[in-house]
Amino acid sequence: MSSVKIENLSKSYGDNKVLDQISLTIDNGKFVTLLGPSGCGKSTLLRCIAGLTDVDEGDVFFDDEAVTNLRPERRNIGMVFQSYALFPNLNVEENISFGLNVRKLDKKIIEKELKNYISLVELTGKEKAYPHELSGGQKQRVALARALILKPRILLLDEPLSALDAKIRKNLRLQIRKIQKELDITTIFVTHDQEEALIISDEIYVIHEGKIAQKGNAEIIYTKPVNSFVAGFIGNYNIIEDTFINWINNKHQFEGQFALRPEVIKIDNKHEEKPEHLTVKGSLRDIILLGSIIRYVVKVNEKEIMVDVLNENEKSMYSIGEEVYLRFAYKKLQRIA
Amino acid sequence: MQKNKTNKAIAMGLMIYLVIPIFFTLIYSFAAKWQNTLLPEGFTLKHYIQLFTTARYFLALGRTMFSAAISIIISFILLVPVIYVGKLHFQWLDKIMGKIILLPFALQGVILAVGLIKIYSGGPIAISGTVFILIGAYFVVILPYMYQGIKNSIDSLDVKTIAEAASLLGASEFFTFFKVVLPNLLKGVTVSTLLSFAILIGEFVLSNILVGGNYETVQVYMYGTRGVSGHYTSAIVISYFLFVLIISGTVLAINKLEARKG
Repeated sequence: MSSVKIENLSKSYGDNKVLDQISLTIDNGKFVTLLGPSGCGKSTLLRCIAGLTDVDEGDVFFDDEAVTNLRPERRNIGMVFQSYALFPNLNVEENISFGLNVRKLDKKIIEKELKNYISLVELTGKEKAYPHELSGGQKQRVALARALILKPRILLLDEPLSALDAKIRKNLRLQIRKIQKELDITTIFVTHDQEEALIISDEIYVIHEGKIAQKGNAEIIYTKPVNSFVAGFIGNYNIIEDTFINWINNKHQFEGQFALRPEVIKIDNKHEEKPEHLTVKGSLRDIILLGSIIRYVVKVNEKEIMVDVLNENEKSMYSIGEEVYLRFAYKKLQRIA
Repeated sequence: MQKNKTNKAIAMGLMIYLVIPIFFTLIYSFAAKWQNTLLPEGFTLKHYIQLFTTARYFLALGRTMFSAAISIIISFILLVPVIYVGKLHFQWLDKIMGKIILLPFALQGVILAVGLIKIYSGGPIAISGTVFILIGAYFVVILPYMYQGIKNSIDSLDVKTIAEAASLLGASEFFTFFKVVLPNLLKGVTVSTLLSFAILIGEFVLSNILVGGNYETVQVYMYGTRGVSGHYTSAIVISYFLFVLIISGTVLAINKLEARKG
């Protein structure tokens, strides 16, 4: 296990600056997620840490050792790819023990380690199966064991769940987290799925256009987005501008942009005065059923506001076109840059 | 259902169309005399006995197999590392190679042969009339098929990610190539290898012009016997056909067995 420190890392492909002066520090044993839309540079950053991509500028440190110019095979890193990257001509056992065989370890040690790690990823009984005989989830667990068996200093996960079905994805992310805690291994996880990031991470770095847009734990990232990009990317924040404000009970003056989570807004068919609350009138445009949540789309002064309500009744209480009142505590407004 | 039946009928028709010439060649090779009658006037094994007691035939067969096999092996050994390294480190190479490998289609046998004789009959590499020039020419002929086969095989393997995964596990590029890439390729290139083999075995123009009697291949030998007896030539064709069938069948069977394993 190692800590990771990145200092002023930059990388360009031609004129396209993929990473722009990125600096970050990851403590020993932490599970850190790089979150962002595709093309934001998160995978490139991971590949720079692995040594698979050369950096233009800046340095990568493991503990306090600079590894910027070390070849990937010398960095002692475990990595899991979205496309599994298993060796198709080798069976589960041979895939997992590949790295140990490269190191020409004693047969007995290899066998013992194999047994441990195969049971760690719950693949006992599948030792002799070939990759094409395994499901996506099983393949990814082989890839995980293959990386972990070498006891790497750092585990890198490059969208490992993106190719899997929803159900397997949910199980496997819990399993990954459990194993990570068990082995106490520093882990960097790359994903574009905000839900995944919020559930699994100790710390999240939201990456946007090659820069860190925000860092923090799940709660901070979710409840206190610092700018409109993070607010738009995490959850389904409503972005409210000062020009929009046209409150019925206008006691507060605002300037700038604010983010407002859909679930903190109350929807009602009548105006009710409440202290510390703001109310605005609009017309209901759409009702979207999201399983446990009903999402109302309400048009207020030419802007659409989303309101999430827990789905307690079988039928919506409002109908499309109806006039509704939206109410929320004004301290829920999150100022953003 | 209707569509299925139509497909079957088309397949059957094609089968019959392809099998008829071989079938009648087969009958002809067993016929004692078959000139003015609808059916042969008796059957005999004498053409086969004559064929199987002719050492010259087996030598020619051996030369054909040898030159074809060596060309394919050389082609494989040269192309695999080039395409692999190209795929990993020099992606731009693929575009150029894609154009180069089309050249053998433009330069047909006769053109190629005349040019090759001119160049290689003198100078520092005087190999005209030897097996070397034949193997060299064969290499060029099968280049497109071998290149495409190997390239498709490498593409379907996602070698870039596999090579990255292996390097992170501590393996050198060399180790990865022999332990992972090569075993997977061997399976993938069977079809293009068989295709190349079939092309070379049926090839006549190059072997006749380039080496002719100096290195008599089956094709050249058969051409020489055409005046002797039609029955005898038919026997050569049939035995030759069976021989190739057995080789291809064996390769395909081994491949299928391997595919089931992994």
